[in-house]
Amino acid sequence: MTHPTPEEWMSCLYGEADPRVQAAAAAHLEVCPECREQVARWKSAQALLGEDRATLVPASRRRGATAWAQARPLLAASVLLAAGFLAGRLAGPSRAEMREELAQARTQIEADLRVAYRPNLEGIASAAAGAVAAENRRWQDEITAQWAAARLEDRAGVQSLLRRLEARQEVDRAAVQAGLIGLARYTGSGFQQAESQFHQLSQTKWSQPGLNPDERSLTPSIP
Amino acid sequence: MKLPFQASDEQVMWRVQAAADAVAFAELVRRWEKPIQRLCARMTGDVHRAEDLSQEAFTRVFSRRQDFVSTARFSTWLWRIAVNLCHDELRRRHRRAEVALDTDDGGSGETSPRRDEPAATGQAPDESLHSLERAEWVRRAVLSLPEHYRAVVVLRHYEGLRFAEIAEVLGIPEGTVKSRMAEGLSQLAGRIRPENF
Repeated sequence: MTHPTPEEWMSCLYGEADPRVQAAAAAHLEVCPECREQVARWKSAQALLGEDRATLVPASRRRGATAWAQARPLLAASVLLAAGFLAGRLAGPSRAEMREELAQARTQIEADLRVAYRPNLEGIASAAAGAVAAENRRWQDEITAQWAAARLEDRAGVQSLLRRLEARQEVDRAAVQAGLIGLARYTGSGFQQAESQFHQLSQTKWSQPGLNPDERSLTPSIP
Repeated sequence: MKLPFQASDEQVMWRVQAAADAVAFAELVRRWEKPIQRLCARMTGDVHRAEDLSQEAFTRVFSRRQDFVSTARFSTWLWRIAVNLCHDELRRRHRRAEVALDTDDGGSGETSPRRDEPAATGQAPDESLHSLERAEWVRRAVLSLPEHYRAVVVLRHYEGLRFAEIAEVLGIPEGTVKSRMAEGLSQLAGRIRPENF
């Protein structure tokens, strides 16, 4: 018989096992007294560990301990007062009287509590309101600052883009200008040359001896 | 004071890390102070020392905030810091006990009694059972476990961490965590016998 490993048993005992493994382990437990005994020991240890559920926090740190210590005498006094009212009337007051006494006791307790705790409550409420307001201001400032930073960043980005465009435009303009100047120069000198050639051609005299006018070179001498 | 929304521990820690935000740090302390104190108390057996260790753990969180990896779980990181502090504390105590032993009896080799461990008080758990409350006795039995079993038992049983997370906290394989848990429970079952209750 193959027994589940202790690791598998731990997964099962702490509910971390795969359902298939869990089912197989449960089935194994039915037929294996050895594992049954071992698992029972582990479970007993688990149960006994559960006996200790103390918070293990020093008394001075327990939140509310001071407030409860302050409230306890007053509450006890209020309860005694109420009990006194009731006990005093147990001799035979009517139900309506008892109800009235009870209402009075409740009013008295409420008044006592209000008197005892008003300064505290007002202080706490005022501190809480102050803290909330301060926190809101802080968040508002932070959001404003972030928004302003984002705007500055956007503006810097756009300015940088514009500068790059201007630089590019400048380069393009210079290139076009250079091209145009070159073209104009070549074109201008070509025209001038052709013009001067035509002019020279028109001035050429066909008077060289021994030449048949039909054989005269049409090529003018170019200076 | 509260953050404007229920941020996760990691988000709050990110604020601590990025801007040394004291408000965010206070929120982390508020959320985790008690669990860390409980862990330290169960590991050291001294609630007042646990308070100091817990404060030390949070001081370390703040001073080493840049070491926190933002993709990791904050709780795992914090548990690890606290467990390491507990181990350091127990080692210091052990050293102090050794020094005291050398000073007192010239190093005769006898084990010095340790205030926080019932197994070392000279009384066997069965003998001290009658003079202690049940919960207190269970606590002391847990304290008598070797540290590496105790850490697993406390983190799993009392703090409810899953085995995988404990493995991450302690930096050991998950299988080892489970076998330590099994051994820890076996040792406890040997110390805490139901017929004694």
